[in-house]
Amino acid sequence: MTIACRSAAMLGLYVNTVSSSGVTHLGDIRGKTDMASKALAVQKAVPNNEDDEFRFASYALFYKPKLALEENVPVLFRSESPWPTIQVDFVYSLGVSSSSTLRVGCGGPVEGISRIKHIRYFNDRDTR
Amino acid sequence: MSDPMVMNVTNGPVSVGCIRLLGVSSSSALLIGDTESITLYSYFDTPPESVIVAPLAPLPIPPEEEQQ
Repeated sequence: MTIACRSAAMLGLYVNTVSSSGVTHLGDIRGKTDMASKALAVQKAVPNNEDDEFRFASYALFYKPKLALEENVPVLFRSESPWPTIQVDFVYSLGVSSSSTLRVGCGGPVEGISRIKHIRYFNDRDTR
Repeated sequence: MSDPMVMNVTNGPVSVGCIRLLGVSSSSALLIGDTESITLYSYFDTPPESVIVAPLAPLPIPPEEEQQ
């Protein structure tokens, strides 16, 4: 695969917060960009002391294998860019978070994964 | 093995004004440029509606039952 890189010209960029494996990337990169984030929220009125419920490995969501696309037909890909510049005036973003990326530039593959388990279980109706 | 598919892409001119967005979150991407590939995974298990914290409000009787 051959990628014809273009230059990216930008007047201004405002990003308020970058958190939880978020990436803001200015410029070109040859290598791979990997982002990974996990979150586990447990909120219970009555604790469960029998199961080991405070580890990521206790939930199938965190050890399920990632799905991958299979290449059925080989593809000879080629791109060309007669106009060598991408022009963007201004980008305003409040946040980049949870294995997300904001990139200005040309680069290699991007891979991000985010897994969130969100437990809110109340054994007592009167408990908030 | 089947014959390879030939794919030629010609990128046209790109000129964008201002981009205003609240956020890029949960394995998302905003790309201004070129890249070989983007692979993004996101899992989210429990929906927030799965628990109702507030006390239950009594519902009125449907009008069909009142007529009977």
